[in-house]
Amino acid sequence: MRAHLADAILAHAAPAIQADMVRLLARPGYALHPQGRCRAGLFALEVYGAVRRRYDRAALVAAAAVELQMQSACVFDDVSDRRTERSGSEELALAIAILTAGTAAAAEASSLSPDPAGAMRHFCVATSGACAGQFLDARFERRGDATLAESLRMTSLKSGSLGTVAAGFAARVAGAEADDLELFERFGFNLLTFAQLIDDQRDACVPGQTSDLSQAKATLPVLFFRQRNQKDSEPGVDGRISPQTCDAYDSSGAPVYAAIIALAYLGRARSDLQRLADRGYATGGLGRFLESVESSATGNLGTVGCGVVA
Amino acid sequence: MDAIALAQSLDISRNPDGSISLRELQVELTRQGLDEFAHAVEALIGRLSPAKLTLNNTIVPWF
Repeated sequence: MRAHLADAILAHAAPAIQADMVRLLARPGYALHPQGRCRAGLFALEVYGAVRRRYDRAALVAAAAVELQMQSACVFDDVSDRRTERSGSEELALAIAILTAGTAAAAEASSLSPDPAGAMRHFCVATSGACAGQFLDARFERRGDATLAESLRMTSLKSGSLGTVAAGFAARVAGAEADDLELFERFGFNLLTFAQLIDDQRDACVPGQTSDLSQAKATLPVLFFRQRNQKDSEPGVDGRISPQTCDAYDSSGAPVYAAIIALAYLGRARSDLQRLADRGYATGGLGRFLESVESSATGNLGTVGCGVVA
Repeated sequence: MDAIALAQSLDISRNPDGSISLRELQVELTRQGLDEFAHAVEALIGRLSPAKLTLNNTIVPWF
């Protein structure tokens, strides 16, 4: 997958910026790093395999397109969170270049599909859904008074839409039945919303300056806690979250709240997968992928704070 | 998915000492017809860990 990503950058990005794109994506946490997981691309591959029962060039190009789109979102997210070393404007330029390279790869993959225009339109429209989520994320963080319902909508748009892109695009390139496309999209949406909610639960409150609470993010567990513990939820003058605040967070019910919503999305994804199997798709690989996502979340899911009993 | 209804149910089912019984929460959710959340609570009960995991800054996003 990493080799195909690098090939897509060489094929679809301007030479003047290719080396910087590769360097950025070779950092820890990104796809071209030796430990990069390329999970979105692998997910797209599994969707393709579920439809076609084999992998070919179209599958690899589609997976590279999806992974580049995902990497673009990750770079943008990093810039938004001000975690990167480069200046934000340089990173944003690279994020746009990565997204356009991904779009060009999507066009190449679409040309190999039964409905090139439909596949391309889906890629672009669903990607704009993820952009809408990023937009709301920034707006809610600035506004500071998002509701729980708004937060869930933002989270599912931002990350669920990436699942919609991956599953819907790969299914289209593979030639899935038109009646089943929405089911593939929904599966991707629910599975990646689950993954994001687990990340949000994990990152909500940690002593120091790195947690979502210290950065006043509008994630579900942070909002749940802040709405019930306004006084305790403010970071110190140095922007740090104290161990006492983390204790208050642990007993607030916020971790269990986030875990329940995450598991509800996992339940939806499981139902979607079963329906895909019932429709005759070869869902073994997708089932293993779902299990790997669930397995990586197990430790966080069960850690729901003190004062919670069965 | 009604995120606000779940939050209200959690608040309602909290015991006077501040603790949360997942079984009681499950009953409350079922009573309110929030079956999807009730099933999620059932799934959560089987996953409870005894202690908070150690977190650090090297954790990378799922994606």
